[in-house]
Amino acid sequence: MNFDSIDILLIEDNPSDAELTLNALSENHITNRVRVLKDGAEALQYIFDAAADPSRSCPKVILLDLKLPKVSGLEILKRIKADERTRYIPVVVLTSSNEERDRMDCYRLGVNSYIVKPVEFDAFARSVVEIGYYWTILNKPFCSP
Amino acid sequence: MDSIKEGPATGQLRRSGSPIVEDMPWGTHFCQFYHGHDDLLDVLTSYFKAGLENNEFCLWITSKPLSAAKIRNAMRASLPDFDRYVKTGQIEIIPHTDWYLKGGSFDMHQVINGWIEKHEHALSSGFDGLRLAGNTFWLQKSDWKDFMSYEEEINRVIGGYRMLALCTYCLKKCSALDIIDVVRHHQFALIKKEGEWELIERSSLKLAKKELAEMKDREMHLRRRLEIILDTLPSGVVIVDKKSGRVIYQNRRALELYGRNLATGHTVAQRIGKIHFYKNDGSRYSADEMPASRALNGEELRDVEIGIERWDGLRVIVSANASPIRDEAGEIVGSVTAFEDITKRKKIEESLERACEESEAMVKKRTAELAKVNKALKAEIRERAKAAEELRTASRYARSLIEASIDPLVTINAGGKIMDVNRATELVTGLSRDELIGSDFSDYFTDPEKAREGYRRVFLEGSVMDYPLAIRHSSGRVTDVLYNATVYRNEAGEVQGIFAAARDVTELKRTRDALQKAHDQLELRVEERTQELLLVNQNLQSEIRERRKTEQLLAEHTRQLEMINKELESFSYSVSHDLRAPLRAIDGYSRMLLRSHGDRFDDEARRKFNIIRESTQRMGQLIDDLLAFSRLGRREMNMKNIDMEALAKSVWQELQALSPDRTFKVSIRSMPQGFGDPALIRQVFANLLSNAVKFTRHKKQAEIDIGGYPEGDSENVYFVKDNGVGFEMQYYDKLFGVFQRLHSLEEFEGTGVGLAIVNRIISRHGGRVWAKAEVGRGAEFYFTLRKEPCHEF
Repeated sequence: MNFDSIDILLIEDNPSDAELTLNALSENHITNRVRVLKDGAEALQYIFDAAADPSRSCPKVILLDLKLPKVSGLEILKRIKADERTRYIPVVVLTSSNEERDRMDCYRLGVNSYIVKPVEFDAFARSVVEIGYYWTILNKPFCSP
Repeated sequence: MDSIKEGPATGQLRRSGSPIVEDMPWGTHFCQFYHGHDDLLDVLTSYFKAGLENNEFCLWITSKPLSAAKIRNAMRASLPDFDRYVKTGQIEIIPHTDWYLKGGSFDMHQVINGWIEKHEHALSSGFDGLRLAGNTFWLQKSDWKDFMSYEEEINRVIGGYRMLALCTYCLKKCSALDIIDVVRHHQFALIKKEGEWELIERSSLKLAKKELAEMKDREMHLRRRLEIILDTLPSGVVIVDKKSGRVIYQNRRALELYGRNLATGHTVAQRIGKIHFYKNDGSRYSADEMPASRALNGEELRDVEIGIERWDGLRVIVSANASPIRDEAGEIVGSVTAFEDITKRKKIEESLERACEESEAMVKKRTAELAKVNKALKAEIRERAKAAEELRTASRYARSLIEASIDPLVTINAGGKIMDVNRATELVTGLSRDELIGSDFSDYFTDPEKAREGYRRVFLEGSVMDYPLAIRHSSGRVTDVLYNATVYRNEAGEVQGIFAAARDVTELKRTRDALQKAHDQLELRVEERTQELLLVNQNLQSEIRERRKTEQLLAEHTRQLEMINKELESFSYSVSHDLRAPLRAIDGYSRMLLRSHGDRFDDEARRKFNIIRESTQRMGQLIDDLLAFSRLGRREMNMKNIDMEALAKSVWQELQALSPDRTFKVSIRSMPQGFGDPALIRQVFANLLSNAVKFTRHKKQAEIDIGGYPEGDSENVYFVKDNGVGFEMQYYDKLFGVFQRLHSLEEFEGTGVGLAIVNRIISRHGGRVWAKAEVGRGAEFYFTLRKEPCHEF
């Protein structure tokens, strides 16, 4: 994988969810530019290292789970949207939580989309693929890679 | 002869029976000098004849030269039915030995007592008085001096009795000096001179006549004094003449009370056109209703309250007395009205009443006391008015004005001696006018030195106002008074004396004391109340402490509840987050297995994979429903009026769209407006209607009936009925429980949360939910909502 040019940054601690996600993406031929990070601290480290390095372009979309070890998804969202260098990166929250409170918190912090993971795999796979297509192909980012 | 001396025995003149003496008043003591018994009989028979004919008891003390027989004969000659008078006991003829010399010698006191006893006998027997005659022929030289003392004493006391006394002296037995002695000790003497009777008067009698001549001057003087007196009075005085109907006199105080200088000469009607006189009820007095007018018609008025609105706007309240003035024949010639300013007293009474009103508990008690005080005051005023009235009727015009005053009035000369008093002064001192006149003014006060200082100051300064003194009644009773006094002058402007008017302030003091007492009691009451309040406060504070404790407990409970809620929330959060992930994994991996290795599985293996996948989906649904149910309890309610019919229609449209392949016969009736959280009530309809849709699935013609009606004053009932499969009523208990299902999953899908949610929502609205059903014939679900806004449950 080309670490310097990431299309999708998936921040997900649950390995099965991560695998299901990657499986769904790969079955639809969008796996080559996906990077998976397994906890909040690692994610922050990665994002802000990349932001500090002008040679590296920013990802086209960040798929973010809310419930993460060490640093929560909300905290990561807050940090991304608070920093001038990273605030224009689209962040899609992909979570099992359909709690109103979570949704409101995310939108207040400037999330670009909020998707509840369907329990049923086919529906889940459909969601992931649509997200992938939409943000990496249809959507035009703020800054060109 | 004119009546000169006035005393208790006055009233009418008695016939003397003598042509030269004419009529004389009771209390006349005179003598006759005779030569022989003819002279004696001549005077005495006509003297006693007059007495017998005029209902007088006659007593004839006889002595030489007349015997009782001779007297009887002489009397019979001039009075034919003389014996009848003797028989009825109207005349007694007693020998001198049984009278003057009773007991053997002359005893002056015994004789005088004898006269007084006979006088009492005369009055008690119904006679007008006692007429007596006594002959002194028996008198010896040795008794002369004693007898003259006796005559002198008679002269002194006879004025107090209804008694006429004629003493006969034999001229032959009297020396010139004796005659002078005798004449000096009688009011007048009769003596026969050259065959004619002659009257010898005492010089004092002449003096009296001279006095009579001076009366007119004195009356003028009296008038001047009267005017000073009237202008000094603290009461207003107005006199109205009957004939003209006009005000002919008003004193200075009257004008002060009116507040303007009105000339005399107005009629009462004209006067009430210039000054407004009000009754207690606020209406105006008419001319006829004014006390001055009523007194002209003979009424005696006391304590009439009149409000006067002065031209300067000030209102004063006066208490008026009015009496008719009669001439000597008793005809009414005018009226006198006296009135005093009682505004202050009224104000004190009013403020007392106000003070009373302030304390509800005090009012009745205080009013009763006030009424009592007032009653006592009024009774006293009436008492006085009565006493004053008796005096008034007896007095003449000028005197009546002074006597009409309830205030003790005196005039004092430069030496501090009382010169004149009115009846009020007699009442307040308990002494008669005669006793008071000539005595020291200062003697009748508890503090004589202060009284002296008072009249000295009047002489120095011309007047004093409101000089406090206390008058001592002869019985010892003390009356607190305020003196107003002024000097009066003769025409030459020389000070003649002082006129002093006392105002009894006992009432005022009593009212003040009552007020003070009321205040004290009020304060005491306030103190008691404060204590009670303090106690109540303490109780309240301890109650507040209790409540705080309870509140703290409640807060503690709330905190614990909040904690439990938080735990619940985090539980829900975990459920939503963590429980779904493994489900997704189970489903996802089974799917992936089927996809990548499906060709290696036989049908049985595939069927089992499908069961795994269905189970995970069902588990996911259970989790979602459970979360939705638990969320209900935490949700804030947003209460509004709800158009239930529109809401039901909207829900139905959404549901129908989900089952496009089915046909329904739906009736949505008009329903009363509901009050609740629109989103939650929408959920109720959604759950009930989706149940109806679900459980009518096997019916060719599904029928759903939605409606509502008011019940009682406070509730509306809403229902959803279907003709579906219904349920067995024996399982009714489980109907509204969470995850309770009455049908198999093969028959009807579902988690058994829908009705539990309905139940929970309606409970939170304070309503009720129930159902009726019959297997195979349908089910009916009912719920209630309150009509009006109510607190949240």
